[in-house]
Amino acid sequence: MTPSRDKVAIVSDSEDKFACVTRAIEAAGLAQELEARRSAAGVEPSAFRIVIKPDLTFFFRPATTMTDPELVEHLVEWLFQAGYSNVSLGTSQESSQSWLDNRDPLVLADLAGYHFQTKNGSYDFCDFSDDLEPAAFPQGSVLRNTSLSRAWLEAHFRISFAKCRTDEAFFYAGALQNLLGVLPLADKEQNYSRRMPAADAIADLLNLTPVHFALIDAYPANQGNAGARHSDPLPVSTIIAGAKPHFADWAVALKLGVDPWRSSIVAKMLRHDSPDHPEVIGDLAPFPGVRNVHPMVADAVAKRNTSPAVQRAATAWLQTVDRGLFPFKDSFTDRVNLLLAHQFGSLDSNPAAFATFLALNYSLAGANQTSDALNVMFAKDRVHWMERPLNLNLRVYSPADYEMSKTYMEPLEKIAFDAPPDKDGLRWLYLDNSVLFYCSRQLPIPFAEFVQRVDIARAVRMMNDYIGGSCVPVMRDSQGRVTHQAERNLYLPQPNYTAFTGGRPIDVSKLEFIAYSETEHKIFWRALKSENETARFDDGAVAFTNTGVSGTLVTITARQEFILPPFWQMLNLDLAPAIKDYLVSDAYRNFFTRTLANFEAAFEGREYRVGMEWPDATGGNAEEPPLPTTRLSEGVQRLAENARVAIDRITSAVSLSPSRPAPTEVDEQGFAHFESQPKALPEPAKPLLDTSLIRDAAATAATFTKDLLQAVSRDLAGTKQKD
Amino acid sequence: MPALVTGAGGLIGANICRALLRRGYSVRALLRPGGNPAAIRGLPVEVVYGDVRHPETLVPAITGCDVVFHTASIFSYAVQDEIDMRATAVDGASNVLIAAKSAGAKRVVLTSSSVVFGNSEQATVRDEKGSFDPSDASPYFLSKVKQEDTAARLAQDLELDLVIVNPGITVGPHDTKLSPSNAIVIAYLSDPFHTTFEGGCNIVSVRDVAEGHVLAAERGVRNERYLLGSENLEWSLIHRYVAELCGVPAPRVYANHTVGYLAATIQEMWAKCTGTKPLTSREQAKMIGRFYWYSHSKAAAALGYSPGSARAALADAIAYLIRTPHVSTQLRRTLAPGKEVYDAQIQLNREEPRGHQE
Repeated sequence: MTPSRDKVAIVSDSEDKFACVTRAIEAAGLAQELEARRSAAGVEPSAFRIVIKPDLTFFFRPATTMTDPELVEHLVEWLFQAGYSNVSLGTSQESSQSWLDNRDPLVLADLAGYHFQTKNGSYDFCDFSDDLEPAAFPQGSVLRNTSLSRAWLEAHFRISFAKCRTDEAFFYAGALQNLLGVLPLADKEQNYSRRMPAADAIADLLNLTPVHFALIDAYPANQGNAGARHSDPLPVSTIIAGAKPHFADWAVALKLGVDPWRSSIVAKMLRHDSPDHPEVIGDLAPFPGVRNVHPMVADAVAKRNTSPAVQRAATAWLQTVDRGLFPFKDSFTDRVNLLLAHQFGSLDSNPAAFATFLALNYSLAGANQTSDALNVMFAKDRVHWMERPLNLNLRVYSPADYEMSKTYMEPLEKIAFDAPPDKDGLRWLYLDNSVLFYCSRQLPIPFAEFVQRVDIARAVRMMNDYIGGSCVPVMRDSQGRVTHQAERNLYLPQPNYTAFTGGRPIDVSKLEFIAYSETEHKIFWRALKSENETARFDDGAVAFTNTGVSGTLVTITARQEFILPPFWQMLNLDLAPAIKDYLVSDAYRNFFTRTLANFEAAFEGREYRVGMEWPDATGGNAEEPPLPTTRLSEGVQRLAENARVAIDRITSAVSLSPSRPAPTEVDEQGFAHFESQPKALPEPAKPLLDTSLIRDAAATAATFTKDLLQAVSRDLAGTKQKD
Repeated sequence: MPALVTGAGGLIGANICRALLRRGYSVRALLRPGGNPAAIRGLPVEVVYGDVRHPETLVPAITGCDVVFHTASIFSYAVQDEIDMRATAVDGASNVLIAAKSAGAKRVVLTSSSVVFGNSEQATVRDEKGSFDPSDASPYFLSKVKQEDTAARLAQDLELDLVIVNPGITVGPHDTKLSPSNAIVIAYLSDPFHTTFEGGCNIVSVRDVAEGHVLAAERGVRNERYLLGSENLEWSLIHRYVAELCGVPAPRVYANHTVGYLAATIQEMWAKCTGTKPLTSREQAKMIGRFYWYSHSKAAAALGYSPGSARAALADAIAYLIRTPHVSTQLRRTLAPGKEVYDAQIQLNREEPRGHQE
């Protein structure tokens, strides 16, 4: 009989933690799950590869923030006894190794208390950042360029054995968040939270490499506002187990008294896989007296963490660390940590620390937002690209759905073209609150040359301020050209200045149809949804038309309505149509000019995308950027060195007394004694004042003045001549 | 016929390599160790490494070559480059000539500059008989004069066949380092005031200059000098051409000597603070109001040298520059290049597909 996968077992046993684990895995049907998978794989139990991902969030003792190694080894022993002898454990590298020693996964496992063997056998402990294999993530996946550890990829059965704990950023952590430790790059926050939403990364990881069983160690749980930063054990003697990790996490959240959907990672999986509740064995009543993360703490931390650099620094400064086990790599970070970690570790019992923590984090968050907005406005190449998966289920769309974008756009093109042009040739009008606009420009480039270098299928990604997304080609014509495709596009906040008032990137998912003829290449698109609800309309068409000797006509027609942030909604510019018209006109003129410049750049073979690429995503070779404190201390050292050199130069320049040797001894009366110097040949007399610097400066000034006077006299002579 | 090109990674050197390949030469390209090979990447040339300031590296490089094109030099109007510039120009030329003699090369073609024939305050055209006023010269001009003198004397001593070519302001493609000549175009496009100034120069395409070098090697007379230029234009017309080709406003204001000098000073200071290369310098500002006009009649008659128009040279240069990082994305967005530029770009694309781009 196939066991129910929607089962979650919650087992408490204050007497025996090992018995608690055994009961939980038996109640959740681990044996049945294993047998079902093993027979499906068609291998003997001894050849059945099982990999376990324990939580190794271990910075101090008592290590209440990581999975208890004894429990993990108990599970391993249970597997050995069941005949499954091919068991390995593993975790990947993490960013703390850039500021702490002894953070290599194998060293960490050793320090944490793993023995690499149990009574009935031994197991491997793998570094999931090592021995990487290209993973077959699909084209629309955020992890499409990511490799994975061979041990994880090739396992027949995967178990997430997580810790039940509160989490500053996601409110609570469990089996799904534990899986971030499977992904290879060390800087998890930057690569799997900022670069792409953590929820998308975990969802894509599970799609390719499902986790077949989840165990969560609440023996004890770790509670409190500080999450994994600080030890705050909650002695609830509970183990939670289930075949589906998101259902196990759902139970964790309820036991902690938190809405399970608070964690975006768990929410994504719960929304994806049936809203029905799992079958619960045990008690869902919240742990008594549990202290959770205050929503303001989570909000402040999430906003602070929008900058990877600030996030990295804050983690290093605030994490409680056992310095005996994990010495700091640089003394500056060590000192800052010594000052702050203890103060902000006890947020629950110290209201002043709580308030200061919020104030500091919100200040940093404000600085982040301002810096991001300034970048969006003035330094777009400093904004990181955003990697997002295609969030459309393409199985439900037929070719006709893609082609619908053409029949939808063609009448709109006619309406837009009939609008009166402004002085720049831009035509636009309002339609159901959206703006419908049309603009075209003749490029003196032969059509054949232009379309050879500018692929119409990429036109939407060449739009102004495109900052990321994904594209999946669905159908091609006989020449191999894409005719039907689905895209998710992210653009910088529009208009850019809304970034200062909370404007978010525009995020739209579209179906597209591309038509090719001898004289025209044309793409039509229609938006299906906006994941972050920033757009109501974003439909359009781009055409490259052959105009013979005049070259290529580029035409853009689009219908757009972006949802403005509350500040701009409050202003309600509909009541000031002249101002609104000016802003709309200006925005679309800029949009068209810059998009056209991108097409030209594509023709010229130049980079046209705004934004900054992330480091290599395949893992293994990516270097972690240094902490801001490390940079700061290096900068201070450089500054000090420069200052020393400058002082030396000035001192030597103005030195009026010849240097004298250091005394070998100072006697009780205070007289200094010097070693007798061998009589040397008299040195040529040194000038008391080294005037080379002054001479150089004087010469430069004299040359400048002479040349300037010469220029002035030439001008005067020229004026006289004209007179 | 095998030929060696020194300074093959530079603007003129890279284009000579191409001109030689078109004419069926087998080409050996000399690059400094660590030098940027981007300008000749993908070309069927033999790349050898050496430094004209290190004579021991030159004989092996030249051995087996009938002709040596010595283009390696520092082209800069920055005064701080003076010592290096002179060492490379003078010592480099001497080393190359001595090595060429030892290695048995039949001819050396030395790239000098038209500026050695002087300039005028009036719009007069000079030729190879022109003379140079050392009291009114930049370090670059002086280095070129000194280089020519040294090379001519040494060639006579060594009984070596030397031909000197003197290009005008040379613009065009394959300029990975951005030479001051091509920088003139970008300086105008970057200037929000669209300033021009009095005086003028002789603008020539680097393709024509490269062809001129090869013609000088094949047909030039020993110990002769040949001016390789094209049209003599006033700066205002050059700037107007650039404006028309790029779809930007034509020159609006004239900068006098004082404004030009002060603006160049500010640019130099800004470049120093930001660690970038200034698009113009005080030495260049001193050229305001002077005419660097030259005749290439001698090269036309003796070598069959026939350059294209200055406007075509500018279009070709712009076509190349706008697809390189020399023109920032922000600047590129303000340009609306016309047909001539795109035609030149299509030509560039045909000559060298994307894989060969720098």
